[in-house]
Amino acid sequence: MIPIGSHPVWHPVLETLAYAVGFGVYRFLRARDGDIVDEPQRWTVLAGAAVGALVGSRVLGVAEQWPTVEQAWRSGRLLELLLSPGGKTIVGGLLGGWMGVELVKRLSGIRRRTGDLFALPLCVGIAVGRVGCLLAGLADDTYGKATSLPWAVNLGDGIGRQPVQVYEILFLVILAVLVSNIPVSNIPVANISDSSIPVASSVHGLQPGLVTGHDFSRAENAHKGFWASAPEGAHFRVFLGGYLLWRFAIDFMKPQPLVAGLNLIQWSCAAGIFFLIVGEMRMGKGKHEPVRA
Amino acid sequence: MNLFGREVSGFAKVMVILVAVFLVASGLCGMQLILANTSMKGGSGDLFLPLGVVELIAMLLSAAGIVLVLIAWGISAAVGNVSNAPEGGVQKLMGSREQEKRDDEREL
Repeated sequence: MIPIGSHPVWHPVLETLAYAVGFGVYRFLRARDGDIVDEPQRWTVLAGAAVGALVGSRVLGVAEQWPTVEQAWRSGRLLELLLSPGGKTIVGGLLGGWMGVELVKRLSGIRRRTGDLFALPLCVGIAVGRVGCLLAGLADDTYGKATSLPWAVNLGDGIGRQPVQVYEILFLVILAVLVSNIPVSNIPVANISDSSIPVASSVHGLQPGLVTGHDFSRAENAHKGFWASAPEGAHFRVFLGGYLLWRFAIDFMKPQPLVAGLNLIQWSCAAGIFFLIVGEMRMGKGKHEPVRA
Repeated sequence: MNLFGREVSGFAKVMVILVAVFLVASGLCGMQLILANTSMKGGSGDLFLPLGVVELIAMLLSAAGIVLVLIAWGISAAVGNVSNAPEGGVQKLMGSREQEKRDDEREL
């Protein structure tokens, strides 16, 4: 049994670090690969994602610990509970952020798929944040069930537990490698006239405008086998689908209250996967054609 | 970008920053709460208490800011939709100046 203990003080520190590292990776990717939308449009998408994630993570987090919320309300300690560092969920943040982005895209008429730039930063950010969850131990509601495995962790109560946070970090590393190997098949023409963001043609020494992004990326990615025909948005959909499936499975290893056999996170994952599939089916029927391609 | 004929990138940037401030402040504020309730406060309590107050203020201000920006953004979009509507025409949602500029440059 590996002694770790519970150190909740590290949770907010690593959570903040996760936001910073995720944003750093996003900026790096955007500078390297260009973007398919203008900077103001990207900020609008970011705002939708941020507000949606904030609301979604908190709503699902509160719903997940509803008995505790009810008890805190009765004892007049609701504010204390709401200010506590827990009570936010990654799945709620992802689904809320996704809904927020779709909402602002609909309002502002953006019809390109804008999530690809977020996939890798989310993998990295969540992995960093999970280190905080592991260190927080019993103070965080993400610990695993008791086990007698040799790599079980002792979070301070003397019970060996599944190190589910470590499993998730390993899974995210694999998912990040998978997502990174999807070729950039988008058209960064939105920034051809923007000197601050390098676009594919200028990065590789070609005169901007001579080669369209679509032709260029096809030529660039022709050697990448299975992923060669990856459509716009594939990075994000692979990430989101993969992560939701993972959480659906791994949450069986967590001692959470169940509703009809599954916990609330698992029900949310199932709903997210359902809407992801429905979205794909609608895309297949051509209801989401890009307007700027 | 024009949203209903109104420039909105400023609102979006402010919103992202406010959400980031809120998330970080709420996380740190929660940590202060834990420290205050455990034996860890000890001699550092004098430092932690004012820091916790600063974080609480940052959290409340950013939360209020998010609500205000959302309202201002909505009003701005609504006003822009009415005042900038072309005569007898359909409001162009994506008629951004950036797009027109790029089209001009490509023609050149």
